Amino acid sequence: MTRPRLLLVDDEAEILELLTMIFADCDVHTALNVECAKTILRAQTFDLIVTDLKMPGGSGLGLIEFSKQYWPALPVIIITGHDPALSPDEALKVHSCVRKPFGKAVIRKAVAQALATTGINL
Amino acid sequence: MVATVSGMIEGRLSFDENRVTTLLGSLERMAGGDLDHEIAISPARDELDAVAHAVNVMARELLFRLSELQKTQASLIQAGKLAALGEVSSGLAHELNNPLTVVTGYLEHIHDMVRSRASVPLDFVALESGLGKIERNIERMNAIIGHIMEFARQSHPTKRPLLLNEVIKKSFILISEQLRLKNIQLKPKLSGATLMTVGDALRLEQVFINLLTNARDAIFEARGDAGGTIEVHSRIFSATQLEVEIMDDGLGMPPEIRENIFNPFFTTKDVGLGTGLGLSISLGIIQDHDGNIDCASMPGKGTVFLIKLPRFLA
Repeated sequence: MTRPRLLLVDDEAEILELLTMIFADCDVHTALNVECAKTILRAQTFDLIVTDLKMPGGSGLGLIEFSKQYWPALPVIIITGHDPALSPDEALKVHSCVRKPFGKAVIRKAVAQALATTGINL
Repeated sequence: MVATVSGMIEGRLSFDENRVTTLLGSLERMAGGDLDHEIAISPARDELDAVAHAVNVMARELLFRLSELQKTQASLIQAGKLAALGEVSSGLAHELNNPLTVVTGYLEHIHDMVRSRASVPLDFVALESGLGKIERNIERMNAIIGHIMEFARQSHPTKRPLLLNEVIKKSFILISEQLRLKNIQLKPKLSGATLMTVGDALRLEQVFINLLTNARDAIFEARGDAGGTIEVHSRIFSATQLEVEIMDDGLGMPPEIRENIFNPFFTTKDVGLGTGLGLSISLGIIQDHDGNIDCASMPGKGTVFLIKLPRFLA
């Protein structure tokens, strides 16, 4: 069975480190900002993006816009410490929002559900 | 007989003249601000005494009103402080939620390790690294929460000699995350000299937070998430004055707005977004420190606030 491919985006290195540990059973790529995430997205394909919303250098929403242009079916999960306050249009592009701080079970469940929409098992 | 009468009138006149002079002296003293002073009432209980009594009553009334005014001003400053905290609160939530996520995650990870120790031997290196991360992140949260508590506490203003640069740096703690998220670079150029003034550290910090919040909003209004730069300079301005300069490259203001910014309740922000009290309270605080705030602005270029405070020489 192939391992799910996840792109994790957050401006906090320790959060990325933690998520990498939580998803040790997946193929994980990490990016500390939106620009870096876009570069990775241009070069590789993924099954899911997990991204923070507010980051210096560009918002997670910009990344979602970008990814939907090329891979409209690629599910996206937002992890954020804020109320994401998405517009209805933006909300439809996001599989789910997970509020920080989250536990392992919550984030794994959200990722499993998002992957399931594309027929992939975690 | 005539001589006796004129002598009596002269005596009365010179007596009254003395009392008038004393009364005038007292009035001048009170006009100078010494409202605790009380004019003595003579046993004669005449018109002059009636005037003296009325002045005494007025002074007591003024003292009472003054203390009421001071209380109102103190609550206004406290309200402004909480409003300033509200302005930076979303950045603070972000700042706390990140370390909290790390703590939650590593606690669960360690818990898993301990639970499965019968089948998988405990990895002490991983355990120690996880605990270290938890400890560091708790310290980080502790520092932030501690500072919020300190800042929001209703304290009696206490003025003591302080290092101005330290107060400026503390004001960065509450706002830096907000600025980072909005791509705003904070460039402090603080004087290497010892800048001492006598003041209330928390109230002065409130002023700097207010000015930094305004600078943040001015930049956001001008360029949105593209951000900008806020420079904060501190220097010895003269033998008796210190100066702090807060400069942003934001929207700037036309003269008709600039002239009104220190007026209470004047705001250009939408309803519910600004109290219009930040700058008037800031000016009040700085004036209470025998200082002054000046502002220069150019639409499209940016705004600079110059704060002068008395220099304290130990």
